[in-house]
Amino acid sequence: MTELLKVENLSVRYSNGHQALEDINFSLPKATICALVGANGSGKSTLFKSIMGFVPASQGLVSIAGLPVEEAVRQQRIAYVPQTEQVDWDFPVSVNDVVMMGRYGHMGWLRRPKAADHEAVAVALEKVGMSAFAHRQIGQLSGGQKKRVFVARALAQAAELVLLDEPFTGVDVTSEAQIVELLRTLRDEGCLIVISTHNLGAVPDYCDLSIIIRQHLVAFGPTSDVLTAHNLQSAFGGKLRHHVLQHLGGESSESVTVFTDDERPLVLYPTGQDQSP
Amino acid sequence: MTWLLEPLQFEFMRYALTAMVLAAIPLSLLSCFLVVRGWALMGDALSHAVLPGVVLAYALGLPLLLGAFLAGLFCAAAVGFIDQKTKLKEDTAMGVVFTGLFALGLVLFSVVHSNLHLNHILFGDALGVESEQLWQIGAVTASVIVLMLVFGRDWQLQLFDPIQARTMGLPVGRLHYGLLVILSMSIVSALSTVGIIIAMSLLILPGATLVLMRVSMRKMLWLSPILGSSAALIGGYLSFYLDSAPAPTMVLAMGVQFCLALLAQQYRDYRVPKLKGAP
Repeated sequence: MTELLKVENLSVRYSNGHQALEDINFSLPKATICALVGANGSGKSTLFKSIMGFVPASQGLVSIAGLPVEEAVRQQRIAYVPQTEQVDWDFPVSVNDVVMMGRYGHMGWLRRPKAADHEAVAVALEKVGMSAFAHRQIGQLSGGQKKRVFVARALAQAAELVLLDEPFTGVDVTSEAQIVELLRTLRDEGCLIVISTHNLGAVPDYCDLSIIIRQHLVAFGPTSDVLTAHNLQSAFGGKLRHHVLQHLGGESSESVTVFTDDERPLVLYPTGQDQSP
Repeated sequence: MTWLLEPLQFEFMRYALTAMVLAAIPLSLLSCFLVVRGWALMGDALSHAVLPGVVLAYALGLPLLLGAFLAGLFCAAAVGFIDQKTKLKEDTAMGVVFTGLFALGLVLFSVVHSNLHLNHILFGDALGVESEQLWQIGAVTASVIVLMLVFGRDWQLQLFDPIQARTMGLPVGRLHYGLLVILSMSIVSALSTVGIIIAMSLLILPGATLVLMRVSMRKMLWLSPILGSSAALIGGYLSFYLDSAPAPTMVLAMGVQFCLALLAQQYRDYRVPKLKGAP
């Protein structure tokens, strides 16, 4: 396992005195999908911002492939897939234009695309199954298609670390499955993918590792060890919908615990195995 | 063809037409960015805010362009400051700063006794353009075109997705202020020809017309200078025959372009009902 992303003793305090992150430690290897779970205001987006170098650490260090963040950014090692709401869908650019933006860092200072750039864009669009839509204006796509365009941009950028911010909000089940499949392909190509998500139920399906934060690190490790009732309760407090279902008519008096933030619920069976419905 | 050549017999008409076309090109180019980003008011703000700079530069015996330029930068910086450091929204910040600076300019104008004509600053004096000014305007136009060729794509990315621009290591701060600088430069260069009020319409109308025509950003950047400079020529010629002021006549020509695009869009929507926001 080669470490790709390393976060050591990271603390972030904003100038208004708000302590957004406190003493976060973890390191993630290549070829991994990792979930980043936490309540709103838990510091998830601050953690993303520190990894991208947008907010300075008040203490600690983030390094990517052994490089400081600025250098990793310069070498096009980080790609970011924004939340759907962060994008101006009326902007007059085509699907092709957006994916080509992922190549800017590889182009000369005049940003004139070469044959290799056109090739990379075509390959990326092919992989996400959006080749037929290359000349559509981005506003004319469905929620899932929009997401796939931005995943294609990350592909075209050929980054090693891909950060996805809530990739499954506003996306139908079919598109979600397609995106997950795509992320698995990316992982198999050696990428580290970090996904900030509310969709707890889907996490065990495709995330190898999970991180739970609430300003500090609540838990980090293989998903099955991390997504436990205890950890989720300490991360979310009362903010999760939490149902305990008694087995009806069964011999067992054990109960099934269901956690849901706002999407697919996470179901914890008494045996300790995670199974999602 | 005599109608085409007749105005060109007069030197002041040749100068006026050249100056208007040259001034229209950078402003129309920038209108694409301003309109798409919803910054139409920024052009408005900057063009009003240069007034105190012009008056002060006159009083101090400095080049008017320098004063206007510094005032424009001050306006952009002040808006940025209020926007970032307070809870006020950006359009409010612009409204506060540009009306304030414009009022300051008007007060200064009446305090400083000058032979400047307020009307010329506000509405331009295309017919009074001299050859020396033509060189100044031409230099600004040429540098804006070169900068757009070099940084145009970076600006597009930054306007579309500032987060991605940063994760790709683009110098976002320099790009943002660079854009404000060439915006101020273009407004200032248009000052003597079309005036600050008319400069505003060049910063909005070509971009707005092209948004209605639903063309991509890349095509917008090619077409907007064509729209702007053709309006300058049409307006210039019409003003000769109508004996009207050239700059407002040019705005009318752009207004006609806009209305045609609007009609075409309405017709298209009528033929093909548009699925708004879907699928």
